[in-house]
Amino acid sequence: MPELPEIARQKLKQAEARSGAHPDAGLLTAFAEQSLTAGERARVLDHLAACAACRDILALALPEQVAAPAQAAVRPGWWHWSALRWGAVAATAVVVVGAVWIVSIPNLLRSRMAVSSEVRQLPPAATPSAPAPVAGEPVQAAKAADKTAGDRDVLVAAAPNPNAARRKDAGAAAAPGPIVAGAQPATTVAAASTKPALQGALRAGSSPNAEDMDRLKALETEGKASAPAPSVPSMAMKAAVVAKAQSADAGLARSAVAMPKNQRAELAKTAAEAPAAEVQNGIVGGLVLSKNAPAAGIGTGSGGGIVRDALKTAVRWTISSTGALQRSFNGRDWQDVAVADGVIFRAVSALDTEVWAGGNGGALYHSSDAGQTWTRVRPEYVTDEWTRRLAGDVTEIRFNDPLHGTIITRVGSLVQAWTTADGGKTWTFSFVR
Amino acid sequence: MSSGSKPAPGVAGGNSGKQPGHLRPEVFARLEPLFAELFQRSGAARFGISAQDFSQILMEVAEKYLAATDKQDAARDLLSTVRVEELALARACAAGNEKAWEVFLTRYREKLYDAGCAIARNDSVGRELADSLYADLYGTGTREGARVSKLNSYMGRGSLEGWLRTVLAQTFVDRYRSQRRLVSLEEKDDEGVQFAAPVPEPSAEVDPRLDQAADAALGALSAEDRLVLAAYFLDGRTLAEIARVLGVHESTVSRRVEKITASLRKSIRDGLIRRGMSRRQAEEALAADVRDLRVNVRQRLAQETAGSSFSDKRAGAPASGEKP
Repeated sequence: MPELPEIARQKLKQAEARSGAHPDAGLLTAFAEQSLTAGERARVLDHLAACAACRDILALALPEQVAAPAQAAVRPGWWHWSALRWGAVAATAVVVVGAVWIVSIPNLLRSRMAVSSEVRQLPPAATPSAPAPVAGEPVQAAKAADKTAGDRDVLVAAAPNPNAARRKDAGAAAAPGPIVAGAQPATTVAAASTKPALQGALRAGSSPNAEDMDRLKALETEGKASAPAPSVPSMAMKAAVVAKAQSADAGLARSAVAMPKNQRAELAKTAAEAPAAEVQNGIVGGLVLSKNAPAAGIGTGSGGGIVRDALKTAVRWTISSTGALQRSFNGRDWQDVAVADGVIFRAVSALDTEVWAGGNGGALYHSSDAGQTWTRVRPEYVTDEWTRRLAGDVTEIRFNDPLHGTIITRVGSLVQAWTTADGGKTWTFSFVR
Repeated sequence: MSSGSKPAPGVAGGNSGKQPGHLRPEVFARLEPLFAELFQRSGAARFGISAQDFSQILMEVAEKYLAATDKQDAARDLLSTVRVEELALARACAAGNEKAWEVFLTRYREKLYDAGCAIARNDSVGRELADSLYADLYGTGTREGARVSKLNSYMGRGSLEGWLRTVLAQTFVDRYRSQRRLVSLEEKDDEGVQFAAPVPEPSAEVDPRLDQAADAALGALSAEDRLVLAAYFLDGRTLAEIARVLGVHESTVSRRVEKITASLRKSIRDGLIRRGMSRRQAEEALAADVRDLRVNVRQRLAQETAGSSFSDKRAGAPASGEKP
């Protein structure tokens, strides 16, 4: 590193004496979060250039960075598990088995689906012991499908697996426990940045990816074959099949469908039995509620309000050394959160229940409910002349609030910054010099 | 700057030198729809804050951060950046609203402790820090019927969580760093960049040409550049830390440091040459070791009061040149 001429060093030190009054805590915070007006920022910069104490304070106050996989847990110090309080139904704790696949399906595909009726019907209230929220799923699917701007696959992840070990043993592709969301929808599908475009492509008769359609057909068949019982997992199966419009790696899809019967039964049982309230090691993706908690299941949509409050407690996130996304409800026990197969995560950022996770190969996922459900996000920057898509490896994610955030990606030696001010709906892009 | 030579109110820390209601009423005229929308967004109603109360709060924020000459646009811009939901929560807590406290605790209590420990790098100090802040936030009695709570000074600038961290950091620096500073005169301190009193040096002076050239070169740098230099060379911060402070990428900072130091060096050297030194003399002046760089203590004191960069120099000051 270069040397600073001594005279310059002296001068910088001497500037201390003229630094003027210190900015208040609000200004310093707003400075760190890039939310000052231009004039304010200039004045704060001026002060900071000359005031070591304020620089000190600023550096101390910055939250710990979310960065490379090698780093330890992201610990923004979340909520108190024990502070969780539920008004209504007083049931004992429930391990909720919420495993549903919902994918934004172009209308055309939906109607195609409708032809094959068995597969189509999402049972309205699937889980015996989990009232209400689960019923929200189809609604949620519809809502999700209506999301605009940017190609989105809405993925609902993670069946809690009573036996995490088994999950791990099962290995990558066929993990029976957490149902893994389809990671790489066909590129050409992605190319259509809006639903109508996709619909158009499909309607045009040639699927964006014929291979995907074949897979889809295969899934439909498989789905029929597995004849699921009316339990949430089974609904998951059905939804998974329905959902595969955007396709996924074949292995994933099959594994999702192929959840062994005994496992499903087990899950159903757990849901029904309401075991005691601890975060069990094996629980992945499910929400364990305290004793006073109502039996409200983890829905993905309409139950969201209560769920959201519940989730707004001690959820922590980290990325393992192998690039797996991990979550802990109690700060001690960590579980892999399966978002998509084959993704090597490198950055995660979480604010309350809003979670962003990204990794190699342009992988970027977002969850609004602390990891219960995930959306694949594909930032695009469209100008008259070109459309730029997020590519490369996501190495840093920073969100100051649910709406404003920046994603840093690297392609070779190029560093790019994608910024959103509306929670990921639209993005702007710039090269980082 | 809109307010002429007066330092901007925001930067002036508290409400020093400002009367309440110093903004012209026209600034708030026709802002009602904005106030209404912000009130709506803030959810203040569920914590028992009325629309009127909230408008008062918003005006308080505007008063604090706008200059007397700012117009309605400035008010609008400012208020649009305010974190209204967090503001409502904070003020409701300050007023003692139970529901608000429930939310606050759920969201922030553990974060506060974690932040304290991260800042202090020490669990017991960190907990102490968090505890004392928590006490301040909760309120320490009443004054004229109103609860005295630190949360009343949260203005929605920056997230509430960030604000809490900043306040913790400020408390930490005030409480623990200043002690360290005093102590560090005695003991060896790696970080002791900010010695309160200058180490006594043999009284000497800097070649005025060097002095001027350096002033000119530094003056031409942007505040951000000077910040980068100070953070890197004076504070000893890593590139990553500086990058986080500025919200840029680490490689950006790295390149910036190299660029600035190179151009600074060149600019000072050129300035010296313009002022009559030979190239070799200039290079030597730049390379001068701190022991050779003799500083006039009296002069430095004069600088501190007058704020001028170059004051009295003895006539016939020895030219820099062949230094031993």
